[in-house]
Amino acid sequence: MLHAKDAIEAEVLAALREVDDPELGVNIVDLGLVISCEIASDDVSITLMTTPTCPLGGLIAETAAVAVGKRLGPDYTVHVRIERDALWSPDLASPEVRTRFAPKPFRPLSTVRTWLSRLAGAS
Amino acid sequence: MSASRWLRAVLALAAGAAMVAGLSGGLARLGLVPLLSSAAEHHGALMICGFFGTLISLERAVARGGAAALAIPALAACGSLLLILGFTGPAAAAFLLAGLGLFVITAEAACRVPALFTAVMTLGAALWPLGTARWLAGASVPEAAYAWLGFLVLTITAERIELSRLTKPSLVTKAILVAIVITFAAALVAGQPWSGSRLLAASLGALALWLCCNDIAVRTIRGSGAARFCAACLLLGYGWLLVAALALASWPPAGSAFGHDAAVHAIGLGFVLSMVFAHAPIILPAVIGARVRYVPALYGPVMVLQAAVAARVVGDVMQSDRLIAAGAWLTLASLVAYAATLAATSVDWSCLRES
Repeated sequence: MLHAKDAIEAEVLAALREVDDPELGVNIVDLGLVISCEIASDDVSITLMTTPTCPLGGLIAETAAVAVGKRLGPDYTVHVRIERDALWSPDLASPEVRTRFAPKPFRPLSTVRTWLSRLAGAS
Repeated sequence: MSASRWLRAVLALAAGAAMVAGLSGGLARLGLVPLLSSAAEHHGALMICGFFGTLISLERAVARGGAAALAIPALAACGSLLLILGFTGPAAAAFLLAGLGLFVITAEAACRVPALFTAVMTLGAALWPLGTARWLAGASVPEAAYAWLGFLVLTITAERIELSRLTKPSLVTKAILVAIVITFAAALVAGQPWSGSRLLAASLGALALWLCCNDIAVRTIRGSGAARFCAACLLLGYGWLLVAALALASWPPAGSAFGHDAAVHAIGLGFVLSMVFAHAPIILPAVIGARVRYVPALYGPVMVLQAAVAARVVGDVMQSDRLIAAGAWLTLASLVAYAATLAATSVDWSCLRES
């Protein structure tokens, strides 16, 4: 029973990975916007987070519900709720996403050295 | 379609109508089209309060949820209509109420999620009613316009900080932003750029540089699709903010009508409209359910818009009426091309191929 639940949760997360934040081009699971996913027999309840100033929350919830419903098929009822007051932090994002968007250290000397070596190579 | 979504679509159309009236007023001021209404006199109010104000308050009302919040963009839309009909006083009162309403729901959001971006957004929202109150008290539209533009600049800045939290800016970086934003708002409250412009110009330039260095767009520009398109528009917009800061410092509006014209159009068209072009394919489906999407062809109108702003600013610097007129027509062309391209993305072309 537990394994079946885990398998459904994996399917739900796979479906949610198809839903991107449109401006970042990163899916909502890796961004850490999925608060919870509760499965009770044929009922799936998902809670996502957004901010009280973001107008995209409703659209993302609709897209997520469609993606999960399509993945699980007609035997499941999918509910997606948006929590607007949760405080998101970059630590909730996946390590890959954090690495991708982490500030790059500014090393002026190595930058100049790279330019000079390119120039030398070009000449 | 639900009643709420219908109302949102009507409000978005009202914002579009204010933009059309504002643009025709702008063209009439330049003597390029006949004067039809009071739109020419109130070009700035229609564009900033009527168009951008309605859109931003609609966006915020949708984010908040509930039909009651839609009264705020509805008030702004009423303000536009009253202004077009020539009722300036009632129009200003409607914009003031809309501005106060936006300030209240933004402050409420800041209480629910206390963060740097909600604080900056609330400060920005306070500048809209400030400018409108000055207008109601007898100031001219150009005198009120900088507080209104400050509202747009800080609202966009706040949205960018919200998204850029992913880059984990350091405490020092955040402290620098706080100092810049406070200086910028203080300069506007003190009446700049009409009573000296250095503080406003310096803080606006510093804000543009801060955004250039810390916005997540610096990273997403290396991506693809809509993310890259948004980043390109934003980075171009930051360039225009820098140009506006230079114009304010070099040709203070108090002594140069051309300096004023260059600064307000670099901010309003170069920065704010570039931002609108960036986000319309993302926001319109969320706000009114429009089935539009990003397509690479949208880069075309964006480039035309950049040429339009360049013509306007260079025309101002050279005091060339012909270049300024060319800038106005190019702006119109970019808007028409953008709207047509975006509308075309909602059409199912496959049925044409089949027939």
